[in-house]
Amino acid sequence: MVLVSCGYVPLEIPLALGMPAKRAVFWGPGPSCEAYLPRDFCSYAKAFAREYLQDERIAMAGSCDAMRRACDALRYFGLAREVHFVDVPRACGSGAEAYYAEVLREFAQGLAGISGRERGGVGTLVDSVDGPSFQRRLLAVTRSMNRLRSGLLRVFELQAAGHMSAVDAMYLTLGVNDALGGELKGDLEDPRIAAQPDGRRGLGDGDEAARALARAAAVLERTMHRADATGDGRARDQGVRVGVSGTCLLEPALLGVLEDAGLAVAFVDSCLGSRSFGLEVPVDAGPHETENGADGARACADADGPGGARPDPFRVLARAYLSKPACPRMFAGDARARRLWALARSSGAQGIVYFAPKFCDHAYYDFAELKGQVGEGEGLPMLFLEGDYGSAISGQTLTRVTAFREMLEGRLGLG
Amino acid sequence: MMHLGIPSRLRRTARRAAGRAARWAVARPEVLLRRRWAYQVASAALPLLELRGAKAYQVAAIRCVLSDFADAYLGRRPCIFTSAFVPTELVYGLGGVPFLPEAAAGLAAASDLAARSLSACEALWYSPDLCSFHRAGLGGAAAGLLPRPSAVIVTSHLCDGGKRSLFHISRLAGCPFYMLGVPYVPSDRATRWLASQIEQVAGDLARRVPGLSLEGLAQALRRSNEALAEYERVSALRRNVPAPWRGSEALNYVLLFLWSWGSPGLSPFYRALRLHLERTIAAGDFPIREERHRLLWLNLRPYYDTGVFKYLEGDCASSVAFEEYSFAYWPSLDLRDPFASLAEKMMSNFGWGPIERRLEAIARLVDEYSIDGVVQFAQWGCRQSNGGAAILATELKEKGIPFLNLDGDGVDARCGSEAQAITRLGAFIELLGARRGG
Repeated sequence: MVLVSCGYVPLEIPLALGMPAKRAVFWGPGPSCEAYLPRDFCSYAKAFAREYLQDERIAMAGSCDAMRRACDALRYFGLAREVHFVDVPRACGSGAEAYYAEVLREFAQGLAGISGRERGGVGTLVDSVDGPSFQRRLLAVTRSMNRLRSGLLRVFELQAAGHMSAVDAMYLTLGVNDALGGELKGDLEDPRIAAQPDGRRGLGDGDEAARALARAAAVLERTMHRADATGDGRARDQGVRVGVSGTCLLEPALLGVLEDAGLAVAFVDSCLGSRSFGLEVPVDAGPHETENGADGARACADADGPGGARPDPFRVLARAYLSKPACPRMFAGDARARRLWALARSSGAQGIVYFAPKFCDHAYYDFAELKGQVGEGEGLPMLFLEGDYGSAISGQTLTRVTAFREMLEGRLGLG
Repeated sequence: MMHLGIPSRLRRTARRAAGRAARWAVARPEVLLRRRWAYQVASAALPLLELRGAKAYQVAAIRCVLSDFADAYLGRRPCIFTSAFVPTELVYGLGGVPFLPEAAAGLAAASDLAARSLSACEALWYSPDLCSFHRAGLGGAAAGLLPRPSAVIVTSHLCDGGKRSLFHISRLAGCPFYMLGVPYVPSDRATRWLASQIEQVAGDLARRVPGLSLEGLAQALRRSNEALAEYERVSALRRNVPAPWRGSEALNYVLLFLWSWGSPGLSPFYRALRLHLERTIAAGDFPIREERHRLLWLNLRPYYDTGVFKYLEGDCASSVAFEEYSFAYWPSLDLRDPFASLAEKMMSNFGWGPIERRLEAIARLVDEYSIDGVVQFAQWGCRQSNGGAAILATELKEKGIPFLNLDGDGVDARCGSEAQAITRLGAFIELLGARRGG
């Protein structure tokens, strides 16, 4: 299984190589890591400093100075069997896309080396990362991932409309994430999984990634089905609506506190939220598509190959991922402030709750910029909360959130 | 329609937080720095400094800084703000003057300006858990203590705080912001991409900022190479045992090392310094005559008044023989291919890429400068440097070199614990002494 540290690293690549892959999410207080990293590092970076299972590989993005050093620590102290560094550019543009496409190709080549070794020789699953079999698999996986992302986006739309709690939506997202990582093995016997075509098309039956994709699709479908069956699809009574933003925000605890305090979550701007699920990699099957779905693929309008030749799939992935809604690590001018303000306006959010893991530099700078532009500039109240994983449920946090709610209600004349 | 400027109310808050230190407006540093006569007076006073015992290299350094500050504050040349590892040859070559807020924060720490700047930054909602060099730079800009930039250039490599704080400064000033994406692993393709970015930024600046052109680029690179040649001689002289220069003073000149490559003033400074070191060695007039231990100093130092170095160099008779941030890690620049050459300079930074590059550089410095122990000044909030502490400790232990990770803050005196630092340094020196056999 491949654990990925950043939403800008496409899960499509390991999955296309037949390796289950998921965004690394850690639960509860992590093991002490002071032998590897300083105390004043963000809890997410520190959480990576742990010993991994034999079959777990780590793909670390150069998200920040702390993650770079966490990557160094993993490699230097031999905490994980394989550590891949993925150099994600800080901006988009044609030069950055071309560079990132090569980074992704090298990432795939690195993983393919592992994949080949494990299976007793390169080429069992794919010939090479530039060969037709890999590209065919990549296309199939990308389509499945597009469907999953679109489904999850729909979940958060339902949540925003009050048909589902934000905590449930986040747990569902985490369930899908776990399924992509080859976890939730108990679901293997579920007949709905066997019936799921999503993961299988173009991949073959005997591969772990195909099963992971199928399980992820089944988890998503089953939850939606259950929501219909239990009548949980009714819109709930709404409290004051707030948007939630932050850097990684990978756990539901904060959302639980907000809902416990009587606030309604209007949107979640995080790595496991609207920033990632609004992404659709443009894979359009053209008229020449073969049964396995590769040859006629037209991946994006700006074909990079000469004379209408098939575009470089890594370039397509690079462009799509770099163009997704910017996270705090990216330099996109005022795009983040504009997007947050647009989300707040369109969703009716009356305030923003910003959560930062303690010592997350990107969050500190991002909050100050957003506070200046959206908070002070536009008059949208913002609450800054920081903590480690699991600490969002502290009584102190609940008190601050409750006070924020009272302030918002006072502004709205609801108090 | 969304308003995306920094609200004027927020700017006023920052300025209020910065306060006013001097009673008379004319005595305020931000006012003095913008008066032509102040620079004339300072320049006229330089020969007096020499008469009062200042060394020639110290005067050359002041002359170099004064010239740049006059250009920047008086608007004689377009001022380009940069983060620490932007090649300043580019700025001088364009006809501009660089200004590095994080380096200027070190200067500010020596006066009350740092405290004012930090207050102004915190009023803008920035966390005190961020590196104080960047907070002071940003707060200084918000409080009106810095010159007005015509543009801002940052790099994507070291470090996160530099680029984000300068992004905010560019918004405060309403000027163009450029970021050079530096690839993590050097390769021909990576160099070409970075070189094309530098060329694009240079061309764009020459078009957008009046007074800038590419005509002076070759001269700036030539000056940089001349200064590098002098500097390599200085570095070679510093290998002498005992050390011919106090490390505490050398750490002050990291400012010029970061700021002035391509400047006409850098080569004269290093030449004067070289002559001083040659004379010191020839005369045996070493600052610490009975040198007991030689240390390599990693990262920066506290720039406010502190007794740490007096204790180290005086009471403990231990030299900081060399500093990580004084290591010239790049080769001579190629005038025939300036952009690729500048790209190679940026990518050869040993703090970028896998940590093995930094380990190699430190091992080399330990060897070349006959180092007995390594001290890393663990600047609060500096993730890129502090994050490698455990690895450095392990690696140096295997080589038999003691390592001390000394917590502190280079700019924010509120977070500097002098007594604790002295206690820890004392214990470290005892350890070194015990290893030497007493």
